[in-house]
Amino acid sequence: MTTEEFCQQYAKDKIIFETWANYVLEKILSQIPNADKILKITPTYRIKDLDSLIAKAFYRNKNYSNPYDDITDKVGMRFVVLLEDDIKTISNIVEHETTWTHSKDRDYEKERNNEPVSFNYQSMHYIVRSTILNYNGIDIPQNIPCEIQIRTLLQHAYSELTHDRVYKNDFDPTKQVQRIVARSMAFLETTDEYFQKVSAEMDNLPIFKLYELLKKQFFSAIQDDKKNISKVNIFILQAYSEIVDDDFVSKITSNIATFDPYVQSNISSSILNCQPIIYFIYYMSCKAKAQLIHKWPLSKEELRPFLTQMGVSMDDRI
Amino acid sequence: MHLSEFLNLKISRIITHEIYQKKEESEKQEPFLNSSLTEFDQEALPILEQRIIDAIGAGSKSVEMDIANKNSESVYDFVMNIFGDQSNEEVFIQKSQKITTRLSDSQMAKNLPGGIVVVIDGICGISAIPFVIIIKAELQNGFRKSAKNTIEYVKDLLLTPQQKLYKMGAFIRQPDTVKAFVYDYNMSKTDESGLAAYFYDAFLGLKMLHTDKHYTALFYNGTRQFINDNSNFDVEKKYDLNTGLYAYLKSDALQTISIQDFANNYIGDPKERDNYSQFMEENVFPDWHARSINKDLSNIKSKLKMRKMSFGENIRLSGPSDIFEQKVHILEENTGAETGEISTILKIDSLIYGFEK
Repeated sequence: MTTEEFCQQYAKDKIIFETWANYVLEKILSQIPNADKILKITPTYRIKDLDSLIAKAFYRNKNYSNPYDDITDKVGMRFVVLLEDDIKTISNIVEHETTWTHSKDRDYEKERNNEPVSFNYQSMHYIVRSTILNYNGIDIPQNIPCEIQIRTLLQHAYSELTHDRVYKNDFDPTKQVQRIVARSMAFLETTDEYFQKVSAEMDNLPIFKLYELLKKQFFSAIQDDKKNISKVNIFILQAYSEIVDDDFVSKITSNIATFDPYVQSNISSSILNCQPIIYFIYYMSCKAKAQLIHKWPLSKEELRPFLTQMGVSMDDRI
Repeated sequence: MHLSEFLNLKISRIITHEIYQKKEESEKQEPFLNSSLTEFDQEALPILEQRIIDAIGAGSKSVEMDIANKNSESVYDFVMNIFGDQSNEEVFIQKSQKITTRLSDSQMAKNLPGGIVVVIDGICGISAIPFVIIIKAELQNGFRKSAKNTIEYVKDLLLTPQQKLYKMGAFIRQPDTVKAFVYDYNMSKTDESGLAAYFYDAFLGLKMLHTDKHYTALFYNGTRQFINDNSNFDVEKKYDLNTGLYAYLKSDALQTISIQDFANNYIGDPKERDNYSQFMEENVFPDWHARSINKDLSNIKSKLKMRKMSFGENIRLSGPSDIFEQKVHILEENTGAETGEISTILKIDSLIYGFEK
């Protein structure tokens, strides 16, 4: 294939690449839970511009036998997340999608295993290839590649540094620069691990587990996951942090569904009635009234309606 | 998990009538009867529900009672009529009038105050069972702010948080039975219990539960077990609580006892109060909702008997009589005949746990 043929073919196929990339992006985004929280940079697909494509195909000593088909990153996209666990979430989505086939191009975990003493560029790369489909009115033939990169913010920072400053002009960096770059990667990898630890420690706090449980139950009961969650939930839960341990969480877990019908039927009675904390208040009303009242951080009259809803006397009258 | 019978109480209809204090004993006083439902606005209704639940909900001072009078023209009969034809407003209004007349007729003594009679029906509980609640609310006086700087005297307040000033009877129709509950401040105090009889007995046709003595014994044994098996309590705390339990049950002033009441008065720590309630609900009263019990000590009389040993100079030793017999031994008594020294040597198979100053 001559350079000219290459250009013509590419101009012709561009719309297919774009449509395909758009499809892949939408497909993945629609499956990421809490995408707006997990993704730290809004992902877009980008299509390689012709100049850099031609440079890659013909001038960069890559020795492709069939450069047009062998270049798999003609279109691609990147997902930048905070935690290594979030990478796994997105990897899973990529690997389980049935409308494409995937291959792993780079797996930084594997690379760490293979070269344990080296600290280098780290990212998860997939090539997904289309099965025949029609999207937005465009027929997409089989086997169109699209590159997907998934990395943490810190891995991304490393990549930006090396891309912008170190390898920009194809000059070989000095040994001294290489050494500093490797040290910073080691440092970033360590930090990523601590970030993951922070998150795991938080997830393991009983009060946090309880809050997650309350939210999950609440959203499934009201069947509306767009509901605004007020800060008052945390404010109230915080007051009870002393009594919430793993045992408490397991007890409330096995009873929480009991309250679904009452949460639903009283949902519009007050502000707290339509917040996840209502499950906690109901449970405490029935199980631990004395502590509920004793540690309640708002006024007593603001608590009374919920005890009433549970048919429980506050028993404080003269 | 236990849930209150009055969970998720939803009021459907309310009607109010008025009865009057008698000027002469046994004189007939006609009540004032309304013939249409009473409107409660959206702000008032939740407060009325709170008053009801605070009085007869789980953990309240109310008592469950047996239904004694099921004759025609009894309150039970009227209530059953309302249950039987819930969509019929006319039946509800008529029967509420009959209930009110019956209350007026039951108030024979002239010292009994009049008041507003509120009859309410609706549904409550896990399976939305029907209820009828009858409230006698005495009128109170008080002040209210009217204009910016004016205070007005009013004498027709009702259903304020002052629970002393209302009585309540509640009937719920469960699938296989009808249960009755009464809240009456006078019932909990021995010296005022005479004042309560006209309401639960003559008017509502209820009597003390036949299980009261059984419940009282369960209460005593369960509470003792909670105290003595609780590893969070040291020996001194256990001693205090056992003494408290004894005093609580033997108190002549209290006609009713309850888990809530004992916890509030004797167990300070909220966490232990909850542990106690949970222990009692899970192990002692599996189908019973932490209400008050009419105290009936007949099954535990012997356990509550105290043996006292008195010495000169007002010195006393006392303890539960069954324990006392086992653990207190008189080893030697010196009357002073030989040495001139008077003494008694006792052996007690226990340690000193408490020492009151």
